Amino acid sequence: MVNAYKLASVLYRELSYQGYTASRISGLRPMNVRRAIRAARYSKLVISVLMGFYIGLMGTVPYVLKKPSLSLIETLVVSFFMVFASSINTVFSLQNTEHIKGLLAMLPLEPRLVRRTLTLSLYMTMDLPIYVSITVSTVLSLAMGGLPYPLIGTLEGIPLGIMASMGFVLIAERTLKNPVSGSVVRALALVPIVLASMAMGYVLEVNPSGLNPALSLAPVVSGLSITGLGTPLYVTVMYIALFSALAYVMLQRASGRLFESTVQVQVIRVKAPRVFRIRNPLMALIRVDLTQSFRSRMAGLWALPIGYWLITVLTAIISGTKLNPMLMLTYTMELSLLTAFIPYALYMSELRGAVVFRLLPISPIRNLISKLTVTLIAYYIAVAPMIIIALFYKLPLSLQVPILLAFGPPIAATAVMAILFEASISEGTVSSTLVMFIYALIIMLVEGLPIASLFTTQVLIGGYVVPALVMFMVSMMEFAVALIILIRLSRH
Amino acid sequence: MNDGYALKVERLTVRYGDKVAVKGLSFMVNNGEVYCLLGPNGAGKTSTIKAILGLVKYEGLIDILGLGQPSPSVMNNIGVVMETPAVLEALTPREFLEFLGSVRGIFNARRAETLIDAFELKEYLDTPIAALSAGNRQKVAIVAALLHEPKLLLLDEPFNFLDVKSVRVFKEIMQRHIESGGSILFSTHIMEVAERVCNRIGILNEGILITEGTPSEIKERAKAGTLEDAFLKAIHADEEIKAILEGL
Repeated sequence: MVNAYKLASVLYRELSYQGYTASRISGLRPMNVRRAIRAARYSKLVISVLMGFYIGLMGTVPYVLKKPSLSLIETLVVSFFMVFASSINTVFSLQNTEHIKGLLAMLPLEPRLVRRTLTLSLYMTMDLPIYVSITVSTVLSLAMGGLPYPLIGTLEGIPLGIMASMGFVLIAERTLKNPVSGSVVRALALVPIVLASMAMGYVLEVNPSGLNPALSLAPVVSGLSITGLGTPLYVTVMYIALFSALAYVMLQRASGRLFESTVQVQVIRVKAPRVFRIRNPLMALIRVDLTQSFRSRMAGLWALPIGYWLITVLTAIISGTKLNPMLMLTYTMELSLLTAFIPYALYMSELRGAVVFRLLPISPIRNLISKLTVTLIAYYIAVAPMIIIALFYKLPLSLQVPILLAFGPPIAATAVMAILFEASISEGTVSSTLVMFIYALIIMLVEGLPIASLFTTQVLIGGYVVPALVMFMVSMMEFAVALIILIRLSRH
Repeated sequence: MNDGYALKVERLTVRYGDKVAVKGLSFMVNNGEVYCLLGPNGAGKTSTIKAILGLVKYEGLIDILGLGQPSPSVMNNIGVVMETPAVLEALTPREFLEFLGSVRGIFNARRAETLIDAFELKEYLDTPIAALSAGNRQKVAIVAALLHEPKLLLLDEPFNFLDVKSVRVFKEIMQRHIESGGSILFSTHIMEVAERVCNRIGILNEGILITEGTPSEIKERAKAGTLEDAFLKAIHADEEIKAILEGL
């Protein structure tokens, strides 16, 4: 009798390897396959440690601020964010693994067993981070003297994260064949991450004792009213059970679709002109970058600056928050930070067919120029409303200097991303969740240094012009160093 | 451009971690010839081609058309068909060919149309490559390799996934390419094709070049009637096959 668990363990090893290397997407095989297989195994372990650390950290902050019940929301947001981000990446890395269906079809297995095996193997790509999160939040709850908030938050966040990512897979599978709805769905893919990460800051402003008692029946919020055995606890447990059941069903349905689908998710019919159009090489590169990134899962990153702008600025205006210069400066810097993820999207989407780019007369520098052009355009499109708002509200004219110069940090991040891309492509292992997290962290560090220098100078000497120039100089120094490294790399 | 050779490889070594895929390989592809790399699976044929293209790290010397080692500037003179089609799947064939033409700065619309007709791709021009069959993807890769009329073609199992008609068309195109002074490095394990198409053959086994010559020289040296027999003798697989067949 074939055991689904044993079969799934074998499949899982294949899935984790495919997810880690993405070699079927890039066309490049890892330089050291044994190391890639080992790294694929450890990557889940490292993600688990990261997830446990974040849950521990975010669950503790509200307790320290003497609002322990809010740790429910914080741990929920972290676990949701981590499960969604990690599973969506794994799932999309697997979209080319049609051979798994072929392999299973050749074996004398009952369709029911095949379905269970596929579901289990997909679950195995995220099981350890889930177990670690539950363990950490249980320890945290016990350390808080038996307050259940971190544990409840994690138990709700995990199934919600799975539901969101699997729901996205199911919608994407149907809609991505249509260019319009496909673009919208892709752009929305990262909205849960944006909302979740933004919510973490706002949550701490909530006053749990001031909540309407009727909310003790609502999903998620019910947990905030738990003080002991009673209705809020029972309602919350019921919601956890419901979310978990729904997550299981969606995981099962999505795994079936994912492996059985013969149409790949990025398939789009495009109405093209009748004649061939030859462009300037740089324009052609920019065009292909944009086309590929809009037709890949990275499309959602384009929604970051726009989504952020809409949510923060409009919220501030509608809620009557005074748009003072410091607030505008903060918004600008956050926009600058988010713009740095555009080159990240461009380079990551270039993985698809990376081998083609290697066979063309495109040097890393020319490639960088294309990404820099797009980043600059994206920055100024995102920041243009800031300029107008600052003028409309008659904010100091000197504030325009940091707004106009904050393209520096994304430019530096673009050059650093070029190095990371060139270095990792030569190893043939690029697309794993862990690698993407590490890249994102490095980009945030590169961005963070000039932005921190701006705020430090602002605190020390005040004004906007000198701090903006300091920020610009720091980012240009980062850019120059990155460029030198890139030139040396491209010579090799 | 070098008068004597299109490609020179000297003491080429390719490693994947602890495994050495190619060990000190040296050979030369002359102008106007098809040089065939033959070898069993894992012999190092694909690794050699990837090294020539700069897709893997290598030790040794590679000189392409007298222009030096693989670099972006050399790429305009090379046409490549990989074992698995090297295409951008998110694009349509039309978008892909436009992109290649734009980046290379070389595009002959008439040649593009002729090749598209020859490989019967017209009806798929505006369908995303991801949605095409394996055979049609390979045809797109072949058109992409031939589009800019390169001097040197690097073909790694180019007939993979192709139907009989397309194989015939492609073989004819290869022949014309050689007649017009071009060169081809061709990797395959189909002996009949190698015997018919190649001017010279290098047999690789475990990353080492074990013999080299024209098909008739190799057959003569091995005292074999066919290239297949000569090949099996060269890699010492003839006795092994006998033992396997006896055990069946």
